Amino acid sequence: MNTHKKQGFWHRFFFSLDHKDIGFQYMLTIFVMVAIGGFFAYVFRMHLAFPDMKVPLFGLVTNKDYNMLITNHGLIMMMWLALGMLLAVAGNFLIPIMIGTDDMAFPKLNKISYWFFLISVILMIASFFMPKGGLGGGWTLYPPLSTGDFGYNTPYKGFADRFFTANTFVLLAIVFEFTSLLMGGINFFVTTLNKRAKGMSLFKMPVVVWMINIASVLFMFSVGPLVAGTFMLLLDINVGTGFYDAYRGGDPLLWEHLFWFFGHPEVYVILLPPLGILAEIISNNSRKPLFGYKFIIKMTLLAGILSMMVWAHHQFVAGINPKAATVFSILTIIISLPFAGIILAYIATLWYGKIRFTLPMKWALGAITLFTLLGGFTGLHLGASVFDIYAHDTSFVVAHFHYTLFPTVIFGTYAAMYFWFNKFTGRHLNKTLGNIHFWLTFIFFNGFAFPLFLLGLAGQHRRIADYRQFEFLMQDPLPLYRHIATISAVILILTQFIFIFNFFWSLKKGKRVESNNPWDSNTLEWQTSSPPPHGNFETYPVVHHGPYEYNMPGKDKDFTPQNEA
Amino acid sequence: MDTLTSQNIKTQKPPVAGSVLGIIMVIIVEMMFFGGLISAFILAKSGKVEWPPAGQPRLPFFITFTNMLVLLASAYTMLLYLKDLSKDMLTVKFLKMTILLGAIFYIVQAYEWVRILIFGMHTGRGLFTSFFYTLIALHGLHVLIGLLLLIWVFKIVKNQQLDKQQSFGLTVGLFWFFVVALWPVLYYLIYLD
Repeated sequence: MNTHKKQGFWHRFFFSLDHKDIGFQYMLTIFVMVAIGGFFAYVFRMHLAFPDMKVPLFGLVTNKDYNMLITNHGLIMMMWLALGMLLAVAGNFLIPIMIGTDDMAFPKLNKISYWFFLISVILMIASFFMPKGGLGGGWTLYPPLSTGDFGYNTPYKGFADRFFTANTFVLLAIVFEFTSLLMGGINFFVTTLNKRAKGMSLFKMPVVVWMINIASVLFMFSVGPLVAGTFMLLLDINVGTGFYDAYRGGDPLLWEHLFWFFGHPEVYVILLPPLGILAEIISNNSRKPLFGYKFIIKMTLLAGILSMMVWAHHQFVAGINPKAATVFSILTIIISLPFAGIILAYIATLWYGKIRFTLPMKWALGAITLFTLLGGFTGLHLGASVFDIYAHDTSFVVAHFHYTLFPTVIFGTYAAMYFWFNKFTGRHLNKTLGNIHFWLTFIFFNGFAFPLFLLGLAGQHRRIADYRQFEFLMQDPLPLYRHIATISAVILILTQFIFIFNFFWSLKKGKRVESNNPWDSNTLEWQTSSPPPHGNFETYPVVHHGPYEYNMPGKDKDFTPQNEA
Repeated sequence: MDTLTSQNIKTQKPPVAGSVLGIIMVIIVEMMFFGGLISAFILAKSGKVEWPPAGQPRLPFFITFTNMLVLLASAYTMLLYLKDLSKDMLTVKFLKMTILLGAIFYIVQAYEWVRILIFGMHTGRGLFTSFFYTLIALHGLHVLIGLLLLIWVFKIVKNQQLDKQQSFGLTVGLFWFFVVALWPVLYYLIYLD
């Protein structure tokens, strides 16, 4: 196993079974998806700030284009970036090496899961080029919008006509992607239970391993109904079953329930892995044991269970029973408690720590600040149905959503990249470029998302392409807010090119690591060479310590590697 | 300090085999999948005054009931096979019987389905037929997958060591139990209720 000869490009990127290579394949595929999603965001933000303008690189945005852009931006970022990056990439890179084993429990299944993911990406991209154009039904795919031109009651025109549509392709892409993530999740779970290093008890695992596993299990429990719903929607479009067709006795609201039964746990599936990543980085850079390790795990499990019971807070304006809405409001507000507990534990870890403001730490602190202060807080307000009914269709929700997802998904991913890049490549990312990247992203993300709160409270609708018919939206200072938001968004997107450059430049030319453990960290991945060989360890570690034993009394150095006898 | 090398890390035997854990996760996903479909079906039914709607062909209650007994019997033979395996006995008699009973169920079910189709129960005629075909077809698909897995086990087990056989057998057996246990639920909801 340790005879790691150099592998050719084709072998490494198409046929390798190594978890690190598969993680890398996922990452590069997701980069492509993010580029598309980011480009779409740029086009419709430009259109929103400057209607009737010919957007550079795109042209005039028609209403149909707008619907298509906003739908696919949402789908790509939620399903392929957030889920893919935080489950597939983080899990593949981190789990086997952090628990001290050579590879996943089922390496071949892991490979197949990547192939499924690739098929889903191809189907998704193909959907833009269908004869009738991309899907424009909103990323939540509510029928009858998502059934497209095959509105119910249209005569059956033949299979090919219905099959070669964006609707069918997007739904198939989603089914393929979820199958892929399920295979990945099963792999993570079995690997964690069965392949831990000697001495690695469950409560000696790093928090991030816990979090990815809880997220995977949560995903498994919640995804079934959505796949069932997707299946029914596919049948509705292609066979004409009419599950969601009110005219034939179906119920369009059924989709909303099936979708959000998955959709709300999904945001916790997305949130948990970055929370785990933050735990690693914060404890390591405060040089202090993580505050309340078991407390964090318990709170996460509690949040996971609660997250299955809050889905209808997405449907307060869909005409659900007001009494049910009250119950869902209360549950939604309760679910903020475990997360408040987790964030408090992180802040308590910082307390009296010897904080090092390294790059990953900056991203981690940025993520916590933005997520808690603006994302989580506005979520509390939106969770109450009384306020939600007012704000629901405005860009207030967009701002809330981006303040929860951007700090966790994007900041969390970057924190992880700046933290672990040197481990998996053997080279450092450039620090100066990293600092510029962080500050520009931090400033212009706020510049983009904060005005949306103000716009939303003023009544800016979040779903229509042309708002100029509403005169109150044209009065000062609202156009100014829209311009600030759009210009910031454009700079924010441009800033990411700094990272892309840094990533690929450092991969080839970055400074080589001097030691295997540049952050003086405890966890097992730092105790092997950088980059780790095929099979991860020369001799497999035996674990004697917990993952966060920093600054323990009676030691001559301020960290205690987990495998130190 | 003892060191683990790439040789002996492979020999550590986990308490529950990975494939068994994996199939348990698959079954959880499947339960949620069918849970979604079944709850949609129950909701759709509950809003209707007349169910099944008038003008539909009568569903074959009795044949399907007999067929259900055949399927349940196949679960029992599967159980006997697993019992033998756990006693380290290498008999494939019960595995053969399971495959046979499963195949009988499948063929009878397919025959009934074709008959109903000929009677003129098409999709596109309303929710009842839509749900009927979707649920039956999805369960049928699972039976087919289960049968293929059983045949695969039948072919593969002979060349494997005993512990591999046991984990393979248990993995596929658990999936088969799930497929069998699902049918009475569907039978009750679709044919009887």
